[in-house]
Amino acid sequence: MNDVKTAWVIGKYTFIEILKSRVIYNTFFLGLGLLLISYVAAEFTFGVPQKVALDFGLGALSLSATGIAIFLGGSLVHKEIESRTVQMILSRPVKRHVFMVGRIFGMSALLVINVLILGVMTTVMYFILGGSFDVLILWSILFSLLEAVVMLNVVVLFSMVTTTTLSVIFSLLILILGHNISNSLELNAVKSSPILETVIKVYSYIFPDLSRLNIKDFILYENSLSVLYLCKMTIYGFFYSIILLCISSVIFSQKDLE
Amino acid sequence: MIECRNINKVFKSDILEGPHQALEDVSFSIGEGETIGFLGANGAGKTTTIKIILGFIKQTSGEIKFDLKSMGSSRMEHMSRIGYLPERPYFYPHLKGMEFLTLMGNLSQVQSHLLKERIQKWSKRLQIDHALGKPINSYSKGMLQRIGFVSALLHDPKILIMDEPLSGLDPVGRKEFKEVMQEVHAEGKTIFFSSHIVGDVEEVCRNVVVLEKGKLVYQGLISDLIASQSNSKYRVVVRGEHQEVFDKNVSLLGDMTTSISIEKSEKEIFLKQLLDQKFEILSMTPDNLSLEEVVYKIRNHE
Repeated sequence: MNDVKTAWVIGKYTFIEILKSRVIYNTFFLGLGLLLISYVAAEFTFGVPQKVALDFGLGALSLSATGIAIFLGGSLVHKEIESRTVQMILSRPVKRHVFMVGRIFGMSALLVINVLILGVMTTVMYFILGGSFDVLILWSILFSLLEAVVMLNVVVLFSMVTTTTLSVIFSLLILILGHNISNSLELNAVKSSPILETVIKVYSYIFPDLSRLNIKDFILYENSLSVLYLCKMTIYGFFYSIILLCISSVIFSQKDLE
Repeated sequence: MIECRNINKVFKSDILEGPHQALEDVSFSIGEGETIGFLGANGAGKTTTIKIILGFIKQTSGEIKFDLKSMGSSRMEHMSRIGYLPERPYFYPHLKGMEFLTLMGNLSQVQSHLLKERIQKWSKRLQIDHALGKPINSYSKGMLQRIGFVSALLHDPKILIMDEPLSGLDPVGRKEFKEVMQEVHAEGKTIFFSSHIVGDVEEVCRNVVVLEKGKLVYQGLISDLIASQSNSKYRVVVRGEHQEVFDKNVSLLGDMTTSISIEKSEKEIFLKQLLDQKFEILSMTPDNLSLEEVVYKIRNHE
């Protein structure tokens, strides 16, 4: 069996394990709550209830996927090391980086399911309230998934070098900074300080600029985005995740599993 | 099969107390087809050694050599020939027993029909077949040990490395585990298991590796170890009157029954005297120490 098959097996059982821990039920209930809130909020608006529903839906979808990625991702590999289940797996012919890829793959599959459930619920509500199809909605859902996968890789990387709690806290900081880094460059205080501006620019080159993956406003205000931009951002999210995964794998390969 | 050469391991995690040397120049080998007990008190370095052999932690210095012919050349080949059972088997709590075994079998590249066969065979033999449909988080400690043992056997390994496999088992479970160990050894597998209970090792193994405070104290046959540490005396148990004739090394066992310790060299003369004086000789055995006594003796010397 080659490494791809091994990663597939680990991913499959990671998915089953997390699924059985019933986290997906929370997503389902969140989806139902979301439908209810969207409906109620839409009733209180004039003119564009479908957009309110969409705004609520996409926002909750993004929050839910990123939340699951950060809070479950913090213990995805770290807990395996702490509880030593990883030793059972690595006592079989399994390479450490393959184990890491498998875990991330399994967790990502769960994020896909989460995003699909909430995405379908959101768009259904949007269409029920009279919304018309916009391809950017699908892109936005895809970008929410990408953002969650990026954050999953961020939290896993942190968990390789620190505790689960700290890795979650650091990841939340990265999430907040990542969504505001572009906006901060527009501030007068930043513009007037070349050093600060350079620091923020350097930061945005190294750490994830998640505002690039947030295209909800473009949908709500009916602005268009070029396909080139959308493809570039997809590649950005994808490769950012791959690079983080590689770094985590290298650290994990060197780690003593006591 | 596996050779540990001059293994040193220093843990540097404790800033206040400084580095801790867990293993110091440990060298021993595990030969094909042997049953080796890995003895040592708690904290002697047994688990650390096993983790180094399995590649979970890196040694500070020294090397682990795997025999090319029997164990292959790559780490993946080594791992596919090793069956490992940790002291406390660690599982995914939400998976069912059968799911866990299938996962381990799949990772070990066992063909599905063989996997099915082996799960059936070993789970029945280790009496865990009734619980395979239940989630692992509902298992008792003994059940976890049993399913862990099954998982270690699924890929038909050449060597079983087990860390305190009998801890947490009831007396019946201990007996079953020892029987299975002897069975798989009879099939040609090498057994290497750690324990701090000397009796368990003595019952299953021919060879022993003894660690004490991170240092190797002995490697070799148990019989040689006992012989080297035992004296050259014999113990004779006799029954008869006029026991006042025995002047030393005597202990009274009961009414007219006495145990006498004699030197090997005076065995024949002493027996003749006993027969002449009409004593009934109940038994005469070499006055050897048990492995447990030998291990205590070695530890006290260290």
